[in-house]
Amino acid sequence: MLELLYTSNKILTIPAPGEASFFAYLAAWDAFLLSDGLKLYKVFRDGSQFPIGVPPGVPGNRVGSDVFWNVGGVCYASEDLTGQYQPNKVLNPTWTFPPFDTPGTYLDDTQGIVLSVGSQGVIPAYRLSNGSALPAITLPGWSPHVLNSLAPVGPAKVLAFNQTGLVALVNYLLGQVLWNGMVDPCQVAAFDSKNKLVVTLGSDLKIRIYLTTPKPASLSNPEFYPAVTKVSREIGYQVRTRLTGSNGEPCPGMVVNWIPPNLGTLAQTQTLTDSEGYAYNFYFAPAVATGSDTLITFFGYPDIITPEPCRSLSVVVAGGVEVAP
Amino acid sequence: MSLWQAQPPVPNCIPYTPYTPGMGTTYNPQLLIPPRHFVETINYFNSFFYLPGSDYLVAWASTIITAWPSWAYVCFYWDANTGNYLGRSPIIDFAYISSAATGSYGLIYARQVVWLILSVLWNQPVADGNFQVDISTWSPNPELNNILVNQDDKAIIGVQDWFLEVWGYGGTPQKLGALRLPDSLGYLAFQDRQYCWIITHGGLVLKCNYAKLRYEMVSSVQNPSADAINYLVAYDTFRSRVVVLRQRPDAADGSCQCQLEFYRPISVVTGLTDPVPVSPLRAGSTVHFDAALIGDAGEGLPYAPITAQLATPAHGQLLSPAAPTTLNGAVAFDYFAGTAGEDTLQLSADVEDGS
Repeated sequence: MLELLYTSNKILTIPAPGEASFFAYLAAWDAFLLSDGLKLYKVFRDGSQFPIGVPPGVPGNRVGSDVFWNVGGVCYASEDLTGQYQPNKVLNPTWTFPPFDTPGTYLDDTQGIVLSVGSQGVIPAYRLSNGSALPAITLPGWSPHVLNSLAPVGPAKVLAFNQTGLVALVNYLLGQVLWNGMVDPCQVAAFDSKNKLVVTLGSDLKIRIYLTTPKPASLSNPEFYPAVTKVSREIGYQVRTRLTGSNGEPCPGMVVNWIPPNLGTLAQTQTLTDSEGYAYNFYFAPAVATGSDTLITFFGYPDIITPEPCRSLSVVVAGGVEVAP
Repeated sequence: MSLWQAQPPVPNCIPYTPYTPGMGTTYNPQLLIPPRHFVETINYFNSFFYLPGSDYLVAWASTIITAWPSWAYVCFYWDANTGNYLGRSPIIDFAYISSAATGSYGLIYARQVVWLILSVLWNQPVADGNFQVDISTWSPNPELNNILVNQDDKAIIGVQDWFLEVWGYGGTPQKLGALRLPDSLGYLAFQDRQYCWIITHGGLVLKCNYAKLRYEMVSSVQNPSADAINYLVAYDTFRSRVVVLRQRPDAADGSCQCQLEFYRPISVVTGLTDPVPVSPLRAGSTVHFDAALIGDAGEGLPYAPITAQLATPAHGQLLSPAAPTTLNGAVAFDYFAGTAGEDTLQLSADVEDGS
């Protein structure tokens, strides 16, 4: 589960049937464009909502945290102040745009690729130069859910969402799913490219803001990596521990604390987790002493992992003997 | 209230002709006996503009005569300074002209409905040779409504369907560009060689730079009412202010509820959004908060100083207690979370009243 930062107190108002169809972050507004198919709204992070006209066509996300409008197969850039399309800025004078009529497609006009929100956990992809289909991207475990949003994240990367709250970061040039995550069930979702946050409109019509990292839930016992069968004096060994979320997903970029052992020494007292959630350190066995040593790690925020676990590894140093985890 | 009101609105700005016995037959008695007391009602407004030479606001309207089956075309006048009603006069050739508006040199331009000829109007014959552009001869025919004329740059600004279009007529007439309207058009007003004002049916007010084909301001009328039938806009070039004619249904007694509203062309601050954390909330780390200063239409208001403070007792510390809003009204604050606990961040904006 991605870590929830904020839930709005305000509840958005959407006329019947109360279904939002499109949600995107607009950098020019530092706010979000929301469409329910009949009206357009400007929505702020705290859930403040303002009507700003009617949708002129089918909206989609565009590379660079922008929006485009598909009006009868012709794609237009959006206008900064109103979010409407600009009739003079046709994006595809020579492209063949696939017959999409579902809001939430994703257009990368720099790469000449368009992605659609598909069903059965599949993202159909098309080449704009001739409208031909590219290999579709399959999101494992997403079938039979329908995607509801494709939000631009960065070069060649989009975040895919569905209504059950599944999130996947996809590299659409390589056709790879880079990671999977989870948020609360949502109608539509967007990516706040300014703050690198996931923003959703929940099924309760509240705005929710999530970090793109999972909420840390557990820390593994430290281990020697690579594994060793004995610890010799005056030799350094790499140790690691892993921080993961409630679904076992890695928590990158988090600080893990290490308590200096009694006999040996540690290279660092704080290390950062890598993209797989591992935090690495070096344990240097004592030069002369023999006896047992304990490596203890803990995650530094007791308010995040409650109760805060301390994970330990017992080491016996006896002239180069064995390790007893 | 998104635009500053320059002065209070003028309600009931059109005094209808009251019914007096003997004025008509009892053709439609339910409209004449109490609670209705008037023999006419506004059908629709055809035009609304500022008349610089006389310093009047002028509206052309089609009225329905309720005392007997009839109608009339009427021109209403108001004092542009106070909004006081000055009087009315009949319009004879109303059926042939539409959407009159002030344009270059303070002249009033209007479109002849049948022949699509743009002419200078007001106390001049329609075809007096002063200015005339026959749009019907253009290819393609632009079919513009609500036309504005910029004679200096030989440009015509008009609305076709959902688009504000700019056409050049200096040489071969050609479309120079277009902007999509966010909602259906209420009315259009000319400001100068660069700008015009647009009001939508829903009461959104947009300042448009038609020379560069971009919107530069989105705001709204004060208290947009659900019962408004339409909004029309004029630009008072003498006072540099926007005048809105809000058409509303008649009151129960049949009196006119249309009103004139006078706005300075700047947005009024209506609120701050709640500060929202946009970085991890961790004891011992710096947390960023985003907020925005906005008007009623959600427009961001730039360059306003915003002050932040923590409610006492506080666990953390504000690293940036004051910051100005950026061009889109956004403002950010940094807070250092000391120990685990709960803090309350309060934001305030000190803004002038614009008068």
